Amino acid sequence: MTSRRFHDRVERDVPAMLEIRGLDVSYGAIRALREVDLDVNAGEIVAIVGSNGAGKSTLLRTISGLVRPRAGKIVFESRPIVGFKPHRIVAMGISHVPEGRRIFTDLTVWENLALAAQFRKPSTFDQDLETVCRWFPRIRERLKQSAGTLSGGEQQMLAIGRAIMARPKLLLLDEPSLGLAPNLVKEIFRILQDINRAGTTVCLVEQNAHMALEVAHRAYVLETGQVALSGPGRELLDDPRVQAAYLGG
Amino acid sequence: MAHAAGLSLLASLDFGTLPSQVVNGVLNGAIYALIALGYTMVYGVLRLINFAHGEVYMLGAYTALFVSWAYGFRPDVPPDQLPESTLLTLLVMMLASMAVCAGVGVVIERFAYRPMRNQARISSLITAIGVSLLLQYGGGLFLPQNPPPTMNERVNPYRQTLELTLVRAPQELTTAVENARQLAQRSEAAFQERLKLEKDRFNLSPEGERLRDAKFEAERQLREAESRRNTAQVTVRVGAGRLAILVASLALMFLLRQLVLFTPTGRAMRAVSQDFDSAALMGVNVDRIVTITFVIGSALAGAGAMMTATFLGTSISPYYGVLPGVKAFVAAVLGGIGNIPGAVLGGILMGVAETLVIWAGYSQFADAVAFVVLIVVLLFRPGGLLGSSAVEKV
Ligand SMILES: Nc1ncnc2c1ncn2[C@@H]1O[C@H](COP(=O)(O)OP(=O)(O)O)[C@@H](O)[C@H]1O
Ligand SMILES: [Mg+2]
Repeated sequence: MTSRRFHDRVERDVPAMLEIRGLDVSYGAIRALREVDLDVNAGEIVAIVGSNGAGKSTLLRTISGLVRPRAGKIVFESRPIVGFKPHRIVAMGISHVPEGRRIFTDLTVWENLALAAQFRKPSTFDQDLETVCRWFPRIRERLKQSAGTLSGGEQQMLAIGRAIMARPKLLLLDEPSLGLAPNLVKEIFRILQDINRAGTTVCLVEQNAHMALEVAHRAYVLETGQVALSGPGRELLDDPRVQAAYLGG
Repeated sequence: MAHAAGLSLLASLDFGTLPSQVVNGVLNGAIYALIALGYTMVYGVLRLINFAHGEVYMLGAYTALFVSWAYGFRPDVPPDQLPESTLLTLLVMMLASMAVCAGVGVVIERFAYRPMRNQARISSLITAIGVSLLLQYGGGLFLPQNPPPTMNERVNPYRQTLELTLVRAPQELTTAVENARQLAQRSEAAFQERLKLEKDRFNLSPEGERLRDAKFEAERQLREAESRRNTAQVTVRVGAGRLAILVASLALMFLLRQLVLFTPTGRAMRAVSQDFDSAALMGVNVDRIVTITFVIGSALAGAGAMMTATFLGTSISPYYGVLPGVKAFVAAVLGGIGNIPGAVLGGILMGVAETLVIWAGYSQFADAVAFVVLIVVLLFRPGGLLGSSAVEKV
């Protein structure tokens, strides 16, 4: 149902929250992305699936300003953001949970969370910390611990919680299910849906396509740097090409 | 043979001065630690060995020298017209050195290292060596160096030597020294009395010779008694200026520690040094953190340079930073490069090792200690004492 609503909006020509047009990214001679067009509308969960090396991480890293595209434009809330430094893009409201979590294991859990919030007005820090701890009760018990002592699942929760502390409008997640036990994956996806319902737009990248397509309003399939398919998550889940290539069926 | 040589070396060592040597080694080490902190912090955030750091230190020494000249401690001023130096004079000199070094560090980072940041690591390394040579030879064109200037020793208001007895000798040894001293004084007095009666003081009468030999014997016994007492007691002798170095270095290191551990900026620095990209994704302005790192690291080198120039009286030249730079770099590697407490530990160990080598009579090898330590660390513990054991390729 929700996906229908957002589609209506695209068709009515309301500008998307994030608009990517003709994006080309290369690492030296390697072309990682070519001619990528992609939209994320406010309020959606968008999934990007594709096999290893398809360019999913590159896409997110380019949106966040870690990688500079060779060509193409990225517009966030009507402002072109190509060429902005990552911290400015974060300040505009895009938070990125990187592949492999990349939490600061030398810092405490609390410091990880505080770091992400320290560049905004501090007035909402306690409130945001409370929100994160409500979503991830295990984090609350471990605030004083060094982040390196957390288990893999807890680290992923910290990585997401940390991104939430920046109060993003758009949350980018790179393979949030990587290396986690199936029940943890379920839990993480459930929380991501909660976060989305609370008003944050979500764009997530997954190799593990099943879960991602189930929760996504819309999805894109990336193949060797190009968008091969796109559509509502459910439709892609039923698409025979997707089933053959990504769902082992 | 080797055994005998070892024994004779042991016999030639003066264990009475050992505690003083260790203390002085720690004080020298405090300076290495201040410089090493700059290497380690910059390496921490950029994975770059800032070879120009020693030259920043050199410029700090010149800055301190120029400020002392501005205060009136110029070489052409006769001693009786020199002004009085105070703690305030020293503080102004130190702040000036720190400020100039911080500025130079920021400029180097902005214009030499930042454009190289996304290039291969080797480009940054070559750039760093280039900046180092540029400052050495460029400095040679503009900075006074013939004859090599030294800071006027009167800039240091703390010139007395402090003596601190840690372990007292037993009473009977102290009494023995006292008795021997009185005997020596009495025989000296008796000999002087006798000299007045002698016709030719270069050709003494038998009585005169007897009193002279008695005097020599009493003096010999006094030296022996003193030596026995000195071996039994532990006394540390240290210049007050060197103690000032220790106090100031500890204060600066404490401030650094508080900053790194307990402020948002320090938290961001730790985050950047652990994961540059991830810190950027958390909203950290990494360029700003890199700049702050250069400011702090360079300012610490400036403080160290001001203190060595003022309190140790070494002569200043455009190459003033080369050896301290190398030694401090080795200290940083010894402690574990990138690790802040490691730099302090490494610096102090280097200072003590070097002083002990001099104490053992091998002063000609003192500067080689750094290289031996470097080789040993790289062979057996490349991550350093406090660093991770993981080897990172440069
Ligand atoms: N830093 C890099 N340098 C060179 N090539 C890279 C780099 N990062 C990724 N690539 C290449 O770009 C392509 C896309 O990689 P990536 O975006 O990581 O894919 P995915 O996240 O979908 O697995 C791959 O061929 C990969 O080898
Ligand atoms: Mg990836």
